[in-house]
Amino acid sequence: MSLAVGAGAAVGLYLLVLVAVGYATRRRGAQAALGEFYLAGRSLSGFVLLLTLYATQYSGNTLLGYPGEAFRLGFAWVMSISFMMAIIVVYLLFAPRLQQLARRHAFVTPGDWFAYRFDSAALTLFANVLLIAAISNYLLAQLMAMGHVTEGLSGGVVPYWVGVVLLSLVVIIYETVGGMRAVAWTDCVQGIMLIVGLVGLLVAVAPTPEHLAELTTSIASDAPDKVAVPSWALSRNWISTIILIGFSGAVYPHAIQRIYAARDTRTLKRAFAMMVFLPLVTTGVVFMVGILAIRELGGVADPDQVVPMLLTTWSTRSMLLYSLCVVVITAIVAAVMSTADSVLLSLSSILAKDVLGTTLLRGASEERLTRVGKRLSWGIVVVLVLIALNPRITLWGLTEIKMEILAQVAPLFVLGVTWRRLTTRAALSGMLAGTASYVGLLLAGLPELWNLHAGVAALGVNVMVCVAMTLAETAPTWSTAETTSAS
Amino acid sequence: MREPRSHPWIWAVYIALFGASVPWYLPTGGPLRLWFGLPHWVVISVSASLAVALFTVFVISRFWSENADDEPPAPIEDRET
Repeated sequence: MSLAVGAGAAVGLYLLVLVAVGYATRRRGAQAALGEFYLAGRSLSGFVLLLTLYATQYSGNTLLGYPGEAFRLGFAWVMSISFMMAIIVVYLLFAPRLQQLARRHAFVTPGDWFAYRFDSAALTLFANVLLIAAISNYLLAQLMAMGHVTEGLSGGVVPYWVGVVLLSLVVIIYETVGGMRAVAWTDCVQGIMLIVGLVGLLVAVAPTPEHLAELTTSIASDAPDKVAVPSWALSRNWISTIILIGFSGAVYPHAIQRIYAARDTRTLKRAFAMMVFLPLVTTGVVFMVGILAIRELGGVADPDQVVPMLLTTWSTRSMLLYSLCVVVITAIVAAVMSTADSVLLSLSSILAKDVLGTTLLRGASEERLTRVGKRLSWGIVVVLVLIALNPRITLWGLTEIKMEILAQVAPLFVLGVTWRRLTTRAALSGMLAGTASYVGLLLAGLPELWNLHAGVAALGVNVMVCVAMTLAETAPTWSTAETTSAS
Repeated sequence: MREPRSHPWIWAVYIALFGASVPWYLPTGGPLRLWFGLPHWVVISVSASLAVALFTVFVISRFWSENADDEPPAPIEDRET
């Protein structure tokens, strides 16, 4: 049986399971409130919270793009372990306090935090524009990935457009039926698929120290740059990537909403304590797969095709490897869909509550906003599917841009929580300066400065403006507030 | 004592561990040295990352309080009352 047939059957079965889970988690009459639909009633328990955070953070890019990067760059791609861990470390700066606040003041969207902390319509609007730009971009990348995954892994049997339309349809159905509850539970299925597929594959190919030594020596003789100690320039880029992914990944709106949705502090603590090890068994495994591909496929393969080529090769070797390859293909589809559903839910909540709820639908009931949010989800999917069917930009180009935009929002969470003196004017000016710097550097044809990402350089400008303006203000905001309250 | 952010030494340790995970301090151009079948600097980097994970578990269990009794910054409600 060809890999395409086995994988097609497994993915078909998996899609049916997702729709069934969506309907099973539906709670009639309890979907009207925003906190219920978008945050599962703030009741996500340890196991579900961990797997939904995991499945959301690791997208199709992790399973398809990262092996290609390891294949292209060599052992230096081990950086993917440290930069994914950095996200959890950045959370420790602001998540404990943010979760308390979210429960106390019933936050639903990131915009609720901005409004609470900074009390500025202009700041909230601009931050939401950046978030919407970044995650729309991200969602579009996932929809395009749906097409590429199905076309590439089926050997062209399933066309690109069928993959985009079919998988988007499944996502929108279970998401609008069950909201966050359905998304979180389907994420559990998806997260388990991911772990089983990846670890199973690594165990099956069993790289013993002797095997690894032979592999490393072989790569060193054919491509010494892929094994050598990274240069100072590459190390700078590595440090820049840790900063960029650490701060941007921590402020994904859909991840922020999972912090809001945690049942309690203990649940969130346990989830983070487990999450911090997952890069070792996710990006670590994916990194090793890319390294194994260097010798298996030679140096001429297209990095984007590394995973499909490798799975096709391995699946012919034994029944066990065939079965694991089928699981991995389903896990890749799962990774794309789990990110798409979370981003879509987050995008619809921001548009319904923060944009329409403060303008055209000001004063509308939560029930109405939830209804509007569901319709918006369908509208967003239709528009983005149409764009995905006529793509004008490469897939991974999209994901790079969104991280650097998101980085400009990070100070609103990190400094906003940790530094009481940060003023609204300083935060807004910093975000404007950071965004302008990033756009300016891109327009000037400088995506990197001294091997640092333009988004990281812009984040530096952003933070410097925040600090300088706050220190320059004669009366810190909190003192003013206390004085006003007292009077 | 309530949160990791209020202990500067924790962040100094994180900077040191992440710094150790990037092999900027190792000389380039030397002969290939294998540890467990991998280039030695890869093993050092993964070990530093593992140390980040273990340290994080320690920080979460020791310095993240589950008591929700400290009032946070900047509530609009407080400013208006």
